[in-house]
Amino acid sequence: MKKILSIEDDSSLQKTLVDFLKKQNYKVFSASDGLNGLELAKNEKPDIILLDLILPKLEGFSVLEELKSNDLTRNIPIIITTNLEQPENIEKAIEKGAAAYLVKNQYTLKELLGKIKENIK
Amino acid sequence: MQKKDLHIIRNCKELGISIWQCPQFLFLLMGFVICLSSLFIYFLGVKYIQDFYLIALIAIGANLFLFIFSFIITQNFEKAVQASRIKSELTGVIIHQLRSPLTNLKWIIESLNLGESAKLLEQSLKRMTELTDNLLIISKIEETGFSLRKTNFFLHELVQEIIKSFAPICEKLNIDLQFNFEKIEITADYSQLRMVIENLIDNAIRYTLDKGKIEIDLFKKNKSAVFKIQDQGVGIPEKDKKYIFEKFFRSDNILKNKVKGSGLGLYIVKKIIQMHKGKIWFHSKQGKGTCFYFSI
Repeated sequence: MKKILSIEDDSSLQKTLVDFLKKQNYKVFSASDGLNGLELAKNEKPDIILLDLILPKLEGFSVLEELKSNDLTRNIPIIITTNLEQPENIEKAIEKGAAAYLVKNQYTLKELLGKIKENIK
Repeated sequence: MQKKDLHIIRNCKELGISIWQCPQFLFLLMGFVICLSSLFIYFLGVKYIQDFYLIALIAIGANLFLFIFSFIITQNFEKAVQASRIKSELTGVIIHQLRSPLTNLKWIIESLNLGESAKLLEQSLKRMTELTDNLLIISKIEETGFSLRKTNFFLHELVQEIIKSFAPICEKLNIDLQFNFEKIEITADYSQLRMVIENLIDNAIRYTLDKGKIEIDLFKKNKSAVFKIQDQGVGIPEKDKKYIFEKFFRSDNILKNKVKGSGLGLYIVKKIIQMHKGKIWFHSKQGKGTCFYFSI
């Protein structure tokens, strides 16, 4: 069973996402802040990470940087899922190594699933 | 200057700030004090003091007082600007925070697989999402820090791409959407311009009754690119024309209650075109249709 780590601080959004992914036969880990997300990524070595950008304790871009500079997590594909839609944020995330960038209110769960399948190894 | 600009106290009240934070009043007060002190030094010099050095000293003292006085007044301006910035930032944060629960609702409806009955929910949700998106754009536009990210791109390609995304809805509503164009390369903010064109096409579709025709033309005129969109919709009543680009304004015609909208689209469109130093205008005849243009 493939493992997904979802780092999202909005608890209700996180629950909907986790429930949906579990129904699709994924093992899902969830973190509600950047630091906890980093720790889970290193310990569980998921197959893919869904990462929000506005996060408490350690914001998303720093989490992305840390993950991409660590040998244990460098090769895990990361999909950014955020409310920030400014082109400069998209460019910055792709530059730092994100596999995809999705603006939350612009995609459906089905589309997210498609992106996960496309990027998971 | 209009007559109403002279009613300073009333204008300050309309701004919802105290008189001591109102820029118009403070400038007037500052001007009054400067004039008064100049006159005071003049009369003092002419009537009582013969010593040139003493007059110069008094003038320097008065200037020093004015300097401190102006500094205190401009500090009040800073407070007003800061209050406006905080308000704008706060609006942005609130709207941003609204997006998460809206996304959650959208996802829950999707995962519940409600079939046909989900359509109404989805429509209401779509309207709420559109409204928060538009308010977020406005809060950014009205924020002083908003800037354009200009790149070079082909405008006709952008229009073609947008038209493609509207094709299914046009087919459903029997609307014939035509596009005639010259190939034009421009320097502008791609995503902002996309928003402008999407809004104008969306409006034309919303206000066109069944089996209408919408014609879009893109051409060059005096080194500018001109975008023209003509619909056969209900048109804009004469009395409403001057308000059409105002925030939250919706024309009081027969379709007001049938066509959904927030009254923010054209306000955003005009602001974006103005930020590009372009122009936007329209012709409209009630019952015949409307033609919007912008040049950039």
